Amino acid sequence: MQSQENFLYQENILDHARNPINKEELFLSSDEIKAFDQFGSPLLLSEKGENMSCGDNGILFLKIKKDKENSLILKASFLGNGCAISQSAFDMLCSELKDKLISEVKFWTPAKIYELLGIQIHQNRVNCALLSYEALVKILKNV
Amino acid sequence: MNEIKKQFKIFENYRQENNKAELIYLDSASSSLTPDIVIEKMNEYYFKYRSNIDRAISKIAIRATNEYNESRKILAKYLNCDEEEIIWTNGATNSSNLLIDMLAKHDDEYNFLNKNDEILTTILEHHSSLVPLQELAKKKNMRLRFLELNQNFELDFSKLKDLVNEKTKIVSICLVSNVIGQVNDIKKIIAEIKKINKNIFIICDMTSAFGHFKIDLKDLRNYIDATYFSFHKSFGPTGVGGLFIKRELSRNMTPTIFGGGMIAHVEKEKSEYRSDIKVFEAGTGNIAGVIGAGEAIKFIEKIAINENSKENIFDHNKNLVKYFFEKIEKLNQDLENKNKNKNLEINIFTKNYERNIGIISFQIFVDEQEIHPHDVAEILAGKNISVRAGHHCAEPLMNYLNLKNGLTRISFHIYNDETDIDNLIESFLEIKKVFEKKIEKR
Repeated sequence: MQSQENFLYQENILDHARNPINKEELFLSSDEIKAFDQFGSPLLLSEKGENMSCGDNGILFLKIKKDKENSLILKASFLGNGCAISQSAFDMLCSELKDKLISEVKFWTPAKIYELLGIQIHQNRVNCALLSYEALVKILKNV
Repeated sequence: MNEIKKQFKIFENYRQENNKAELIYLDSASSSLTPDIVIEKMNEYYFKYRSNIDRAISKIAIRATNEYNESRKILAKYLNCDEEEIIWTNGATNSSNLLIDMLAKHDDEYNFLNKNDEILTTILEHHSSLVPLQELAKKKNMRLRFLELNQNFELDFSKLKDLVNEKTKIVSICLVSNVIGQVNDIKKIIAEIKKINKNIFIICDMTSAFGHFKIDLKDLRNYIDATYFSFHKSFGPTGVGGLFIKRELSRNMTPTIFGGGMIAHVEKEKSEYRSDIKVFEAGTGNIAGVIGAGEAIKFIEKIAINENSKENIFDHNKNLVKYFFEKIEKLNQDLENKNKNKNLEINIFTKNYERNIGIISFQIFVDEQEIHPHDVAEILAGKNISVRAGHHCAEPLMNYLNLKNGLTRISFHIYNDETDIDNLIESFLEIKKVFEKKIEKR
């Protein structure tokens, strides 16, 4: 039987936690602002996810091309500190968000995060797993 | 299984429910285990004489009242104070809040706290001690000041002269930090404080220390005015705590919680209150819990507090801390001998074991990257080892020590032994294994 610790710490999770590909702050350059203006208003939004019980935290950044019909996520990134589960979920979610329409993302539930992590999350780690999702939900309220 | 573990059925039950795995409980600083005799004592109340106290006159009610009152006697004798100085509460947080509310109310009546007066506390305090002080400071426009640490993570006495002055009205210091585990030399600190200002109300949070070594309030009352503690950290049930206030002080204080049990006489428009300590214990309390708390003290006294006995809790736990330090040193040597690129580091936040009650907090680094305490705890949980990870309800201390991820904490009590530590150290190697091999990827 596979033990609990080996099950949680799958290679892909540790890889995302150790070597995140989306861990950076996002900015809009002046060129980007100009370019965006031709299509629709550019948006850079960020929100924080925070787990008071353990101190895990992360800020999710979304660069969005806003459109009357449908807004598109051009890029997603994060900055944060926390356990392997919370930080790998942030990194995976950012990769997943790229090039997605807001209208589609609005339908995502926590199941999306569990699907990305690919492991079963027990009750005591749900807050870790959903830290990035919490930040995403806050952003979506403002789009 | 060691002899003391046999007095805690949870170990046998855990084995039965977890494929014969041994429970390695290293989280007593969060909440201790409860021995069978304490649980049986509480069950006895429910099974044999379940009723309310004080008010009824049936046989079972008289028995319940006697048992409830007996616990206060046991506790007062154990602490060497008067029965009328002990208020039962539902835990340390409740005690701390009650005390601060009583002080605030006393000030409403006597006005001894003025704008810009100061409260001195320490950077070590648990949130249950600190947050009520913050509320008091806010309410009374007072300033909160903090005694910080020296390089050995001990309170830095040398700063006292800058922190205490004629505006200092309240001092609140924990006897032991729930993160560092070191017994603070509160007599020395308070003597220093009193040299500068004698008129300070002095509070000592004894929650972490309670039950670990003899606390003699007859001696300590020359230093402190109030102290509080909880029984769930000292073999008792959850939801029971105590608040000690010197009787000469509490006699002049008015209750903050009103209702049944605290009154002498009630009319339509006004009431008169009791004159004994139960005036601060309105409502039906945790009767079974209080009775269990008395039994927990008997357990402490019988098994562990005897300074000459081999099973003295303080020495037992201190020796385990010493053993842990030795094992870590040996682990470091082994790793260095085996591999020039030693890639497992344990960074411990307590410097010596002599005054340690059995609490060790640490960080783990694999290949120079910190393994988040939650991940450490998760892997240890898989090995049936219970530890604590995070801020330990001491966020200001974590920030002060610049620990953004918090710490992993292990804590010992009388049922722990060297085998538990051997298993823990073994699991550190497992943590190394899980995290090292996955690093150099993408």
